[in-house]
Amino acid sequence: MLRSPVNVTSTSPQAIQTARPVAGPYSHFMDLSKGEKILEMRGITKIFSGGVVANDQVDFDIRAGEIHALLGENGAGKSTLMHILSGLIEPDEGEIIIGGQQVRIGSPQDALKLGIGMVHQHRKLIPAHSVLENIIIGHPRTPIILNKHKAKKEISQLAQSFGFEIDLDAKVWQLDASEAQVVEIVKVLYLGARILILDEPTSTLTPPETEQLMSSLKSMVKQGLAVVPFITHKLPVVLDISDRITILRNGKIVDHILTEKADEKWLARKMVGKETLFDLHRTEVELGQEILKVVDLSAMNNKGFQAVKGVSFSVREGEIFGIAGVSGNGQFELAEVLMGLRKPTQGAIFFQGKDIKRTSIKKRWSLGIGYVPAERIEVGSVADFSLGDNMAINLYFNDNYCKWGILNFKKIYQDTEASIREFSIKTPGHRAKAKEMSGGNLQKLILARVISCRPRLLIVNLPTQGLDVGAGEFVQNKLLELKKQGVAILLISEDLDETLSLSDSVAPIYEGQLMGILSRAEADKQKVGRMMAGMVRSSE
Amino acid sequence: MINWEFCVAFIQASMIFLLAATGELVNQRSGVLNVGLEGLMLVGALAAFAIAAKTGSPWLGFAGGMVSGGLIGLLHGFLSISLKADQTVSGMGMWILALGMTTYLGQPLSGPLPGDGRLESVIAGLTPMFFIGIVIVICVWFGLFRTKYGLWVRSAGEDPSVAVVSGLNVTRIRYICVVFGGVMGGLAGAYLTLVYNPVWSPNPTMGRGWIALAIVFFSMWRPEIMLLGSFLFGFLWHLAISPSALQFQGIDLSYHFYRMIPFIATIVVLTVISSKKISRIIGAEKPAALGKPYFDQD
Amino acid sequence: MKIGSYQFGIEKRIVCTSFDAIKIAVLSVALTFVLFSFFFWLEGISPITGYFQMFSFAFGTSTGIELTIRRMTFMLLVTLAFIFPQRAGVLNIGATGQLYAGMLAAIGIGLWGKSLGSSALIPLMVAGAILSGGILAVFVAYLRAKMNVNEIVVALMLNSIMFYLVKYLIEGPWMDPSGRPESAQLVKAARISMIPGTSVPYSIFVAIAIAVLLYFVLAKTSFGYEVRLTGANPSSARYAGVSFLKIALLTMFIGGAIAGIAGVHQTAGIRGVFRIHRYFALYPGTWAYYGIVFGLISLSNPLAAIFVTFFFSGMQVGTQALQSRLGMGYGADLAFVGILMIVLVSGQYFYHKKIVWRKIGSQDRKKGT
Repeated sequence: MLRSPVNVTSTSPQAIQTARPVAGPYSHFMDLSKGEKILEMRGITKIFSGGVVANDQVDFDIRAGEIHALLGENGAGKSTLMHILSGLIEPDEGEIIIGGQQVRIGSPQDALKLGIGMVHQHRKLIPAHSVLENIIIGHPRTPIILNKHKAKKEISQLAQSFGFEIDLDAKVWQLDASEAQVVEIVKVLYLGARILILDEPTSTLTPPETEQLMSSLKSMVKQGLAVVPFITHKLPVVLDISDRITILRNGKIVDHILTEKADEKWLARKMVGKETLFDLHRTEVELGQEILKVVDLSAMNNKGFQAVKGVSFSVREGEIFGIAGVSGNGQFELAEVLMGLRKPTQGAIFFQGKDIKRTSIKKRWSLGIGYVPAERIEVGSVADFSLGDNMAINLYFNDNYCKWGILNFKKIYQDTEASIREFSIKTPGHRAKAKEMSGGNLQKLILARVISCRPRLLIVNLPTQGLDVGAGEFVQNKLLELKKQGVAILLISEDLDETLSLSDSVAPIYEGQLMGILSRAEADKQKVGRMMAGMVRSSE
Repeated sequence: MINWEFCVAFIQASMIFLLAATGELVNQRSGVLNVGLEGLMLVGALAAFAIAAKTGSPWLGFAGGMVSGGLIGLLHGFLSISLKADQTVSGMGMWILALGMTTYLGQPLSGPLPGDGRLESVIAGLTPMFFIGIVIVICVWFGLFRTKYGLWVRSAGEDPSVAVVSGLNVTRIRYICVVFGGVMGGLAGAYLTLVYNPVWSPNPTMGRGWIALAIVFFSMWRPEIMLLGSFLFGFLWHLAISPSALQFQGIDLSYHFYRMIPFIATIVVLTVISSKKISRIIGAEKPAALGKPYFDQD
Repeated sequence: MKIGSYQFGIEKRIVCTSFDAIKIAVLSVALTFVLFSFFFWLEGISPITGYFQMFSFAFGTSTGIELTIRRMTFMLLVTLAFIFPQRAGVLNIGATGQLYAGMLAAIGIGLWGKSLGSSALIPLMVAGAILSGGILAVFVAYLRAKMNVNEIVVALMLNSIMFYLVKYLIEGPWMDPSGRPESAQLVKAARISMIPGTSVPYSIFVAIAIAVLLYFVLAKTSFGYEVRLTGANPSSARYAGVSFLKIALLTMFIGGAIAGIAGVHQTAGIRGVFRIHRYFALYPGTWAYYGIVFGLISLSNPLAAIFVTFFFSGMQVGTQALQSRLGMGYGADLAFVGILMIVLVSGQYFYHKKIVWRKIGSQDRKKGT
């Protein structure tokens, strides 16, 4: 897929027409010429049950033959708006107008009938099925007895017309991320979409794949389709492909601009609002002796592919070592290997000078390695346990709490109460269940628990992801406090601002390899961003 | 010695496994695990026996077996699909209920089926049910892999959320498949007490349902392998009850040990097939959502 | 949905407290009683008479109470055999086979060591039962945890294999000299003595002690914590450094061992012989499945299991008394368990849903289960 160079000129518009399965419902804008408004959303408001205002009086329009990018940070309301458009969520207020008529979109099928198709970031494909089966499932014109030959011909014709090449007989699990995305795009087109909504289309793609995708999208637009990608970062991509940009912040439209008039800086400012001022209490401390040393470490991911490839670095007392990268580049596997949850395929790990490659997980905790996992709910806590019992997860084998195999729950509960006060966790007490807690309070509890093990090395994976500003700041300040006490911290984060403001050293990671190790002074946002996209490698 | 008579006998024995496993395969493909297969067979067996004994018509007996099996399947569907209950426990309950009920209700019927309720063989000792069974397996294979509905069933079993986004009604698909599984289980039971061994005694299935369940697991959810598995276990089962067919020189084993053969073979085959290497070679197709209730966002 | 002047509906239950869970369990049992009335109806007995006869025999007569406690010992042990692995998220379906293994060990050692004194013979029998039951369970757990073999199928196959092994032994080498298809009688030294003045063997205290011990282990020890952690969230357990294989093997060994002890109780305590009932599928092996049901009712709590098994053993003894007193057919007691199991498992639906109702016209909402 995406292997052959795109050849736009040879594409005949008839190819799409013949491959188009359902004619009718959306034909009222089939013949519209470029630039004509085909869809309008007016005054869309959506308030979720928790009182979160995801969209507040949002106006948005889509024109034929253009790429209209929707830009905003995490939680700005982009997904909600697009889910409303694709029929997954119904708005509380507002109207959607297509071809001059108000429509109601109650399901993804309704959306498709109106020619709106969405490609999700989390793939909606069935791995065990072939590509062909994934594309034809749910297609209204699929005959009872499958005619695979005919379907294949139609689909490959359609795919080729946009410069995609697909192996229709391959099973989806055999595909890589970019190939799977192409399958989804073709599926949505085959189902008759004329408006293509793409959720973070480039987040899992390498730069060359991104370029391929962009040229395919451009060829689609030339054929009269409308494309709406919505994107969190990667501003250069937005500037490169889009015709217009709408920026969303806190559920409201902030601005709306023709791409040719926009620049990166302006967009960034609009997205974030005012410059974010972190209230962080950072004190520089003398870095002490080397605590962790990793040499040429490699490991596999769960699918059996190499995820960490020959990583070497070291972390010293009082140092925050930040690993910056987009999720899925091996950070998770690296943290697991360091903690003993995953076996390395090669390399060595030294903790305070001793090789711990074969040390058990419990032993590593006892030696003074702590780990705060990214999955707070799935891994870091037990939903049905009380806070007190959750506190015991990393303490139950600790000699201070366990004599002759009998746990001193009284002490554990007392310490839980103490941590609840110290970390100002909002909860009725240690008897409350973890599932009743908010994300921020849960993260505080996990952090308190790991800190109470008195680690010399702390590994934190995505410590503030999904937290509100207050809780996030609390966690960040806690990390800085630990740094002051001389703890070595390995910080894994997707949030570049966080990594840059906390870390003493920054190592961008890309496809399991560290692209270099930059000191605090060397690391600026642009440089690190380019390195974590795999475009530059530090010369060291 | 192995002769045509022996072959017919073991083919007849295989049909019980085949019919039951076919239904189970379809409902597992749609994502619902029914470990109460043995119970379905028991209920089907009793209903068929009772009706055939009363009316004298084996065909009415078959119909009764299928309908009662379908009803139990529907109950399992209600528990596992609508109430999202634990499918293993629900299935076990279904089996224990069926075991108790059939023992209780079947007591007055104990004994052989009156002659006019029996189904005579037609071709070389094979009954019509043999041919019907083979046709059903072929239809199921074709249906699952060559038709739109088969694709729907497999999608519901692999990832119901994707199936729903693609516009399929997962609940309806699963209900239909579970009822089909029940009907087939009932048919297998009816075949057992009307054709294979037309005598009523408590617990006539004697663990055959569990073996049929195991056959589905190691068929990798493929009808063609399931067909072979059914014949293999029909052969072993028949060997177990008539070991004299194979004379093992100099080995004087109690018949009890022959009876163990199908059960030991099941464990061995299941262990071998479950190993990663073998399942990779065959290309395991375990429905990814098997046994998991589907929660729509609410 | 409207019934009378009330509006009913189903809502999402956010938090299910243990009180809610108990409420659901009690209501499920009540519903089962209603459904089971079907059998009384079939027999032409009024359900009220039926249930009265059942309970008055089981809990109201000294024979009944003795029978109930004898049965309860067995039921409590097989329930604990299910509960303990269940707390680690491991399903022990094969208590039947483990029970047979324990019975075989007890009978085998009992027949072999005729000349030994009681103080040596009984511990040997128990040790044999623990080992054989435990090893059988570990076999299943190992195949599951290490080779990913479906544990239900393996356990059920083992049940059948053990059944034929039992049948072979009691119809062959260990057969009673009189030629009846049951094992030879155990000597007096190999029998568990009775509480003076009753026909209740001392094994009831063993069963209760094991229940209390398991409760203590689960609630207070680090091993018990590992077990609970594995059951509640396997990923968290992995993160905390707990080996799933170790926990699965250990809990299954303990579960199998307890089922084995149930076998000792059944042979050395009750019968003195190993007999298979005419309806062999129903007795005594199938009784082991009751463990699953009672385990579910007691919400996997060993202490609750003591009371649950007492009550339901009485029920079962009562049903069987009905079979002789009122001429009710065999199998009804098993059907009761089946119904109970199905009702209980559907009751779990209400762990995350609840029925709400309010009077039409009024604003205040009432909550139910």
